[in-house]
Amino acid sequence: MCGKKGFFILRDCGQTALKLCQMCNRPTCAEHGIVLADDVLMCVDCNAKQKSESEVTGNYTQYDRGWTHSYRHRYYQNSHYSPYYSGIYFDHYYDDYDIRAFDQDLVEPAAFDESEEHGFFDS
Amino acid sequence: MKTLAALKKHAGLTAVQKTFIKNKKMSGAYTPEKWLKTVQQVSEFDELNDDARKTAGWSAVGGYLFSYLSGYIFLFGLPRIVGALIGAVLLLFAIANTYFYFSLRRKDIPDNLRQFVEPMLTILSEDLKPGSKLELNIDFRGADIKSKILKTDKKSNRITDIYYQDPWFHGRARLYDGTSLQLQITDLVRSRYIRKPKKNKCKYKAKRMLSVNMGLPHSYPSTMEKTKAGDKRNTYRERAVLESRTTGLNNMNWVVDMNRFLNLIGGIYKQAEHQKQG
Repeated sequence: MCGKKGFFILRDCGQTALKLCQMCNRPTCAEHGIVLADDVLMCVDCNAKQKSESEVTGNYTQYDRGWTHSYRHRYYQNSHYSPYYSGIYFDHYYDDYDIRAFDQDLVEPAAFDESEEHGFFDS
Repeated sequence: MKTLAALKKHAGLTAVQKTFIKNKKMSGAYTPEKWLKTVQQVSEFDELNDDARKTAGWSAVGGYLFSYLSGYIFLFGLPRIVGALIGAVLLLFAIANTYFYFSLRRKDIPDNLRQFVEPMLTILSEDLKPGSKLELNIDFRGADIKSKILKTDKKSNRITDIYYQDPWFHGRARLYDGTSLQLQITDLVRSRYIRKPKKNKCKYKAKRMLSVNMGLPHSYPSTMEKTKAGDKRNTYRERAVLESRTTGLNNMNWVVDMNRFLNLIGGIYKQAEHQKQG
């Protein structure tokens, strides 16, 4: 399972991981991985943590997924925002963000389906 | 060269993008990917345009100045005819650059597109369901147009106040978690016309209002207790509205602080948590 996607609400990426991130060893899919020199793969979250403040908030001209993750990382840190996590795959990588997770036992993958009478629950 | 690059980029834009640049207005409901593709290319053009316009402007100023100075070339021992020829060439160069300057200025889009709308779309696209549409209404025509007049107040024979309301950005989307999100930016502008014996004067004072209106799904913690399974009356979405005002703007091209906007959205999600705790 790859990392988490989203900005205010995190969810599982759901795509099949191809390789492991060289920094955190988490499985990473092609969409959430950045290939560095020498064919080294780094996940967008690790890449975001490595970037400095000015690299993210400066005069940026290309807004891509790498930028979004870097911005998200800075936003969580600076505004102390704790995102909700609606997925089913927990790991300790996102502990820094103080994720407001819902109860694992009650959360179904289809929790976001509006037709459902009950959605996701707080732990 | 920069002017040519900008004109070439403009020629490569689609009809929709060219219409947006011409009318400074765009609305529709498309996927975030389609919006981004449209906005990114216009932003790229705008960046080139800003650069080319600056170069054309300074080249025109330099051209006029040196064409005037070429009249004094005889002081360096050269015949007057040489000075006249150089002056004529420089004058043509300056006139061409003046034309390009004004032509590119007509195609200028406020920096809010590049520095607010584009990154905002990139962030929102992360939280939208794949394939879901984002309704956007962007109006960069500026506040001081007739259709945006809210009221006119004649203070005295000499002073007239005109109040404008300019809702230049409006977006509506359904987020991945079912939350309905509405974003609006409205500029409230007061222009004060003062008649004076020699020269009339106009002063602007503006406020910018950022507004976020969110309908949280009934399954959110704060609304959980109010929702009864099977009771359709209680399946409405709890609405939360947060607004932020910026006052004292003297430049209507002032770029929106994106963090402030994101804080409004994040604030509503935080409220859901606080309401639950309370």
